[in-house]
Amino acid sequence: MNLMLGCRDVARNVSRAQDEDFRGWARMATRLHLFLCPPCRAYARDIAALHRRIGSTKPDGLEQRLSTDVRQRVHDAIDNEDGTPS
Amino acid sequence: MEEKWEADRRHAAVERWLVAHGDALYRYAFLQLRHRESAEDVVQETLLGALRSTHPPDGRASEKTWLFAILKHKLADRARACRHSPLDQCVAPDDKDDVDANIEDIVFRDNGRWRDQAPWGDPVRHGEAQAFWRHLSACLQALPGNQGEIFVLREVEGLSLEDICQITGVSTTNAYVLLHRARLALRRCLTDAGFGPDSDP
Repeated sequence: MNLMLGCRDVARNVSRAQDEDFRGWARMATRLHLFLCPPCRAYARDIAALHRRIGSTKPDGLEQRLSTDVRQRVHDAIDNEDGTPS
Repeated sequence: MEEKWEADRRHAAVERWLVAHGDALYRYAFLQLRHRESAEDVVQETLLGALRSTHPPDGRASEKTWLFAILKHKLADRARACRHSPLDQCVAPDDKDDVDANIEDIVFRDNGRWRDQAPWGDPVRHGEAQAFWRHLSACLQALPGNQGEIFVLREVEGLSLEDICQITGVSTTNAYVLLHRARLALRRCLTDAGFGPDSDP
C-alpha cells in the first residue's frame, strides 16, 4: 500500500475513475494526492470538463453526421436484393 | 404477400437502425477511413450485412454493440481488400505509427511530475459546438494506433468498457491504458489549439 503516489500514477487513476467505480486504497491515495497537487487537480478538472463537454453537445458538422443520401441508398439496395421496389 | 411483408420488415429494421445508430456508425467509420464517401459506403454495407445476419443481438449484446461489431468487420474487410488493390482510389484506414510511446514521456518529467502546461484557465470563448467538434475531431485523428477509436466508443458513443473490448478485441487492461493515453494527448492537443473543454459559448 503506497499512500504517496506520483503524478503519473495519479493521472492514470484519474482516467480510470472515468471508466469504472474506483474504490479502495488507490482511490484514497489518489484523493490525497489531488488535494496536495495543483497540476494533478487541474488535470482531473480538465478531464472531467472534457467528458461533460462531449456529453452536453451533439456532434455537429459535416464529418459527424450520416448524409440523407445514404438512407435512400440503403433502402434501394434492399429493394434490389429483394427485387421488389418499395 | 409474405414477400412484401418480409421486405417491409427489412425496411423498417434498417430505418430504425439508421435513426438510432446511423450517425454513430458513420462517425466511427469516418474516424477510421477519413473519407466521407468510403465511410458512408461501409455504413451501408454494415446495415445490409446486419439484415442478412443469422446472429441478431441477444441478451448479452445491445443492438448498438452488435452493429458496431459488424462495422468493425466491414472495416477490416475493406482494409484487407485495399492492401491487395492497385486502385488509387481505394481508401484504407490510416496506418498510424503505433509508437505513441509516449505521450506519458511527453507530458511528464523523468521524476514523474508534470511538465509545464498552460492551464485552460478561464473558458476560451470559441463559440459553437461545431468549433469544438472540429478541434476534437482533428485531435482524435492525430492519436496513434486505436486510441481515437477506443476514446470515441467510450466518450462519444457512451459504450461500456465490456462492449468496447468485445468490439475492438482489446483486453480491459489495455483499454484502460489506451483511454488514459488518449485523454493525456487530447488534453494537450486541445490546449495547443487554444481550446479548452470548458469553452462554452
